[in-house]
Amino acid sequence: MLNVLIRRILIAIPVLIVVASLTFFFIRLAPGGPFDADKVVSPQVMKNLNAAYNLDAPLHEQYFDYMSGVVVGDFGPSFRYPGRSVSEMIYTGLPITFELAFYALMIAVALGIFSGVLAALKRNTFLDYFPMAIAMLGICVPTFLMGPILVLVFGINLEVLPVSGWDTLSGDKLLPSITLGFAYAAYIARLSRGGMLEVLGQDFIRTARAKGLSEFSIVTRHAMQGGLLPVVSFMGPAIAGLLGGSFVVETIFQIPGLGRFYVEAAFNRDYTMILGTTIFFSAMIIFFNLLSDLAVLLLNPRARENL
Amino acid sequence: MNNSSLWQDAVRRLIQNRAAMIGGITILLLIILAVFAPWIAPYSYSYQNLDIGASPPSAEHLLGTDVLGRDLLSRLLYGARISLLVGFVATGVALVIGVSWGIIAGYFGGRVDSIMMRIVDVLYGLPFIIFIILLMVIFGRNIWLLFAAIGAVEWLTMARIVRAQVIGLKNQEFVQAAQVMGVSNFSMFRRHILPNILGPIAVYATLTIPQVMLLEAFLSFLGLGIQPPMSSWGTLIRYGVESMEEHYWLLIYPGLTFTITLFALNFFGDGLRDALDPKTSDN
Repeated sequence: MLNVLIRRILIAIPVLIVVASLTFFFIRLAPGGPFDADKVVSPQVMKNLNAAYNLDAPLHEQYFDYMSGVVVGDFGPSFRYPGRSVSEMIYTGLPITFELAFYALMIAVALGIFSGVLAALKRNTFLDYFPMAIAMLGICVPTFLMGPILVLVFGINLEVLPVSGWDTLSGDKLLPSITLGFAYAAYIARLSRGGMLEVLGQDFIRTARAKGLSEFSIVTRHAMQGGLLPVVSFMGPAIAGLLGGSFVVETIFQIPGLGRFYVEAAFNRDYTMILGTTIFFSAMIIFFNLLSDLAVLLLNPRARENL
Repeated sequence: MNNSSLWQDAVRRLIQNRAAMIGGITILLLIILAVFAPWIAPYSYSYQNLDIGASPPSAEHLLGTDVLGRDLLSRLLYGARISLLVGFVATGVALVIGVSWGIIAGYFGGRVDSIMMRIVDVLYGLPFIIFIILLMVIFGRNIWLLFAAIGAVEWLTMARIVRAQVIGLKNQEFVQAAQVMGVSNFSMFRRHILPNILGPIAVYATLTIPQVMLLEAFLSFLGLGIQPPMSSWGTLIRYGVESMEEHYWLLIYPGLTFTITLFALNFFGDGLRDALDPKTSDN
């Protein structure tokens, strides 16, 4: 167990270094400097700007400067917002994005597992078909359509919930969280239904039934442990996906989180901001994948044997 | 002795699956509409009629017009070309990379396999959406680059599926017999391996198309994908959202078209999977 952990971390570190380096040099390939879009400035001012942001140093020097900053969490200054550092922007946006992703994940897990398990238990009945049809809807209606439709219905027509913002009006966290969580609820419902069906057909469940255990404890204590493994291994990719989804949801609902900063940076060609957030997102996603793999190992003895 | 081949059986099962057939017919219809868009569309996608501006659905403009007076139906039809093109081309790119990668890793095994699959594992853990955005920012919003970038992301699962299939195949007698007869690696892949794994490849490819289309629409929605005056369904949804309060039809129709297409592709893919591999259909 500890071995796996150490091995995975040992792989993760060089991967992160490669990602960071590739992104660094990729950004340099981009046509034009970061200040080209601004109004025309005299060559002297340009020179001073480049000097101020250390852009006149040889490339390898800039690279080592940057990387040694990243190690201690310093992603350099933002090109677009003078006086603000990328780290500062990441740290203001992150809690908001995390909160949003957390609510969405809670909705997804609660709704997904409940309807998936129910569908598996009541197979080929209305309680199976109906949630699964909704789940298909959740997979086929993308977040960027779901969000506006919810806004249109609950925000504009019924006027019961705020249409945008975060932490300014009561109830403004509800629509973004549902929008982001719904698609994942759908995936989780399908995964847990499939996993439960597989487990429910097995001998140890029949044994449990023969022992006279109540249906409730068969499901919760015996079947779910194995049946929900696919859901656990889906958690890593799901969290990565939630971050991507946060780009859209934060844009639609005007939430000042990391996702919206990233999209804005991409529009403004704020190269240091793009670079910093890319490295940061990669580190987070690698970390969450690691966590979800470890959780699977803990829960599934058979996966442990195959190491 | 039953004469029907695996494929004949599969086709029969597919035809019996109503949801899959409706999905398949819908896709076929969409492809025809997309291909013949220039002849079918009542207006050009860029024709503006500023006098009428945004008008609700009417006899002249069946689905209404946008803020610049452009016919929504025409723009949807032309958008279908781009959206479907992205779906098929990017899936094609993913197919070529994924299948070659999986066959080579699975067939040669050993060191080659473990290095190649370790690379896949590592790539799996990276935030690809961010890299695609990065590429679009650096190299400009070029449609062919978009195809390549999306395809380059979606091949990973394909490589895993193909590798697992090839490992199962390579110890079978007919492959060993071919090896003994000195068949070259290339014709081994082409004549003996590939035909036997076409089923799973076809299934996964069908299910990749909607994912790819979602990704394109996602990027276009953020304004980082297809650029005006060209329109994909993603860009149309983006404009629809901007003006949904006054002009609901600009959001509803593109959204509906997109959702129906994804539904059709998913149902067809699921049906194809069940038809080719009856074992999975009881789940």
